[in-house]
Amino acid sequence: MVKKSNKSLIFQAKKLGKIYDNGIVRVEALKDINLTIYSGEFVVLFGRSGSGKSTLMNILGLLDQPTSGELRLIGEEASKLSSQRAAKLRNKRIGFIFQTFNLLPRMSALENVELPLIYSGINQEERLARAKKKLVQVGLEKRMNHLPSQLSGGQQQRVAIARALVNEPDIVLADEPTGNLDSRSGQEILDLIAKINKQGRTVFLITHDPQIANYSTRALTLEDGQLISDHKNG
Amino acid sequence: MVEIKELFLAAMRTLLANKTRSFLTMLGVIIGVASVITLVSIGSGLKSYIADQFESLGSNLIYVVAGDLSSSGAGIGREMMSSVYSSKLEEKHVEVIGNLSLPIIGVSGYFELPMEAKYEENDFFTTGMAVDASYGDVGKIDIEEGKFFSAIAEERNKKVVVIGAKLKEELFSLRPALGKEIMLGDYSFKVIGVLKEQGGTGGLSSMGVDNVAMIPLQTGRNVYNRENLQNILVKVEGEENIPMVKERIEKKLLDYLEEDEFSVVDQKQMLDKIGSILGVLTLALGGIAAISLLVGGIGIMNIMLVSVTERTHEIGLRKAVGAQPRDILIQFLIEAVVLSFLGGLIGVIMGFGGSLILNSFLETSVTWWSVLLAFGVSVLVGVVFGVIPASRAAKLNPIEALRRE
Repeated sequence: MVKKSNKSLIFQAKKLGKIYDNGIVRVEALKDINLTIYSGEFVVLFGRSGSGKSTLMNILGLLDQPTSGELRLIGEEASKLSSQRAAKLRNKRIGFIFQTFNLLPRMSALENVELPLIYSGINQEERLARAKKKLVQVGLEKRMNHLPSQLSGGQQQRVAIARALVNEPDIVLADEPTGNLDSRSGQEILDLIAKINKQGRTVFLITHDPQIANYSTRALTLEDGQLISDHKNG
Repeated sequence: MVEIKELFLAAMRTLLANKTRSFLTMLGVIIGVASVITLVSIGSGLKSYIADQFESLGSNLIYVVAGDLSSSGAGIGREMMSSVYSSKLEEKHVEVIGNLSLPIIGVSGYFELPMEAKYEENDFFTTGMAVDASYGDVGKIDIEEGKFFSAIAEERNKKVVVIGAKLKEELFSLRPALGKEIMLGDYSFKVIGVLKEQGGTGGLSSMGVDNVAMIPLQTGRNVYNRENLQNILVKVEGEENIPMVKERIEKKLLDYLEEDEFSVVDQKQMLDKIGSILGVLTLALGGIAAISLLVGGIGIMNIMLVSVTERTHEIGLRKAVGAQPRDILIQFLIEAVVLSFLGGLIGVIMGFGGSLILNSFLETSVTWWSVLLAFGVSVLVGVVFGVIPASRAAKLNPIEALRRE
């Protein structure tokens, strides 16, 4: 289980910047982002499409590197991480939830959830036990051997959530997790993510649905690559 | 560390999901390996076959052949051909050798002529071998029916012929042949004997003992107007005497002939010469087949590159959930190696099969080194041509990969 220590530092970004430059077009996706996130927070990041919010999430999730500034992540300097170490942190400490679910189409729900555990080098028996447990937690005990194509959008996203949680990460990053779902499924997914946060995991969620702010402890707004607001709720 | 077993399973899953593609990719390697093994088996089969034939001719033979064999390493074929008609060997040399006091069982001279044999409506392209009567002592002559011509028949210049089993079948099929007159070229010959079937091509005759028409040397000389001999065969008593006999014959013949007008070789030297030619032939055949193996390898690389492009999204996702670059590299490498390994294995089986089928037409023998080489190269090809696509997959930036659909 995740420790519920009160104020340990999860992310600390200083003057974070990201410039895309392909030699013809130069886009400044992020400008001077200063952001500190502590453990247990439920942070929602608002922003229109193209505001740079996915870029920020990818950098926080070690999928991408900033072009300037510093990022400390659970005690490690992100710019100094080898790709091996970054892969290991993504595997053990970070769980991703994507708008398009990103399940591997030829694998059953169970196998999809097992995937991160394979890369942790965990034996098959334990993998199965842990993946099953997570699928039960997200309410899919009867769908374990279904392929993604045999599941509804909401069910697919729950498989993805089980996959994000199966390695017991400290941080869950969700990029518009309800974006491809109808409102009822979306509601269920948000409830699930709120529950995850209550268990002590830090959640960082991107959306452009203002209602989601009600679930969060903190709401950020990004516009043209800059943080323009930072509100703490409750 | 991720267990290789897991990466292997992931690779196998992909290959099985694309069965047709996997098979077609393997096909290049299958054909390459199978053709290397089959072609080499033809070459080495030919070699052992010719060796057998030489041995079936009888052991302890020394050949006196026209021309200088010792000077040109691999030139036996050409040397022998060009020297057939310019041969300086004559019957008196046979006598000279026979008169030496040596442990010799027999000496026999002969020449060959390609000719057409005819009986009634049947004709057959054959080799006429003009041999002296002592050929029966020196070469191996097994008579099925009738008899071999005697020294008397030879001296009397009779137009008689002893025919091989195949020639008999072609001309007479099941009818009796003894006593019948057949046409050899423009002349008529009486069949006095039929040889036992020996199988295949044989001995010194380029057409094989079964196809041959043997006529008395004198007759052949008169009818076809030839003075010289192609070869002189000497059968030695006791294997240990071969080097000594060889040396004596060589020395004696130098009294009559120039050094470059003849060569004295024993069976082993002859086999070595032929072996070296066929060795080159086998290598050439194998080399040609190896090119298709290379093409098969490039096919694997091609498909693996397509596969990496196609599965960019999957690679991105695997990386996002924590796959190390090494894990991706190994997974793709395993795919390539499994394809080439399996292709190699099937190719080996098909190579054996192909060689077995060909065996009913010509002698083949699968050599262990060709199997090992073809299989080894196919696996190596998988690794080498798998590395580029695999390392490309491993180096993919996860976020760019995830963005691709």
